[in-house]
Amino acid sequence: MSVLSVMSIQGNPDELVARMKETVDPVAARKAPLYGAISSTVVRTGDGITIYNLWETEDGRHRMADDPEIQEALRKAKLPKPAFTGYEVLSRRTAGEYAKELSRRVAEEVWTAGKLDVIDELFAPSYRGWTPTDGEIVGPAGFRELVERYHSAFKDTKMTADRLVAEGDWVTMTWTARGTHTGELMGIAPTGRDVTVTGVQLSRIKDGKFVEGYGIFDALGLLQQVGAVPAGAPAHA
Amino acid sequence: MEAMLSLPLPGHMPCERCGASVAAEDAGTHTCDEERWLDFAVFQLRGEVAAFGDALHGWLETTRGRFEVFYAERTRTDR
Repeated sequence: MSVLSVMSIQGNPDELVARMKETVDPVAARKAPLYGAISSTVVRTGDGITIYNLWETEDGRHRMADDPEIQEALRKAKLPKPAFTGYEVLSRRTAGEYAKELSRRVAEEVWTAGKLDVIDELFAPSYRGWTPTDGEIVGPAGFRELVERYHSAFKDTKMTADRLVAEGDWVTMTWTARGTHTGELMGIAPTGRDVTVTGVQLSRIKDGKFVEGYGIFDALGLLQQVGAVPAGAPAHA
Repeated sequence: MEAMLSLPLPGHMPCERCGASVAAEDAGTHTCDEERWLDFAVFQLRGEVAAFGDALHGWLETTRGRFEVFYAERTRTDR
């Protein structure tokens, strides 16, 4: 169960923040991850500052407060005694989690379920994407065209989001796609073979929609699976 | 001088017999699903299947074909 601690300190906000940056912050930056700190936000108030610290557990917050190095840093800072309140966190959703959810929807709703109308909901009109195999992808219409191209080549396409990592307004998804090669692809006649391909998609989100993307997938593996390139055996160059 | 490339094996390869995608680690234990095998076999013959339809329609337009249609229809009616 995560907890939110709220500490209010009276005084000149700029002076308080400067003192903390000099004394507490260097130690806290090193120690906080060890005790399960999730985030720390300092805001200016009418009579000082308020610090919102989010912790993975109440125990972690206590152990951080009892850490000798932290106590020493607080003594050096000579901060006025804070007014403290703690809260149990009932629900929390970060921008990163939202970004991951958008990526998951592309895999599950667009690529797997074939709901192409969802593309307009997920991609901004200004979207620009790029892949080495498919070149530039312009706008939601360009992404729709990309999906249609692969759907026409691979019957029953299914894509799963294997790993999702979000940082700031960027999100990375590693994915696995499966399908049956029943249509022409890159000039390769259909083979009826099932293929499994992995890839990575890096995307930037702004105002709740994808605005930029870079994708790469195992194109060599795909060509090997449909028999266009020898698999495993040495090939002449 | 001829250069050589040693291409890595992909993580999955289609089964030669049934076309199913098989993970490299399962290659030794894969068992073909008969329905998948049938789908794959029919897909490989799709050209011949389509050509048979065309050839049949062409033959039915010949004198012999028209007679066979007539005779079949007559036999069916007689029953």
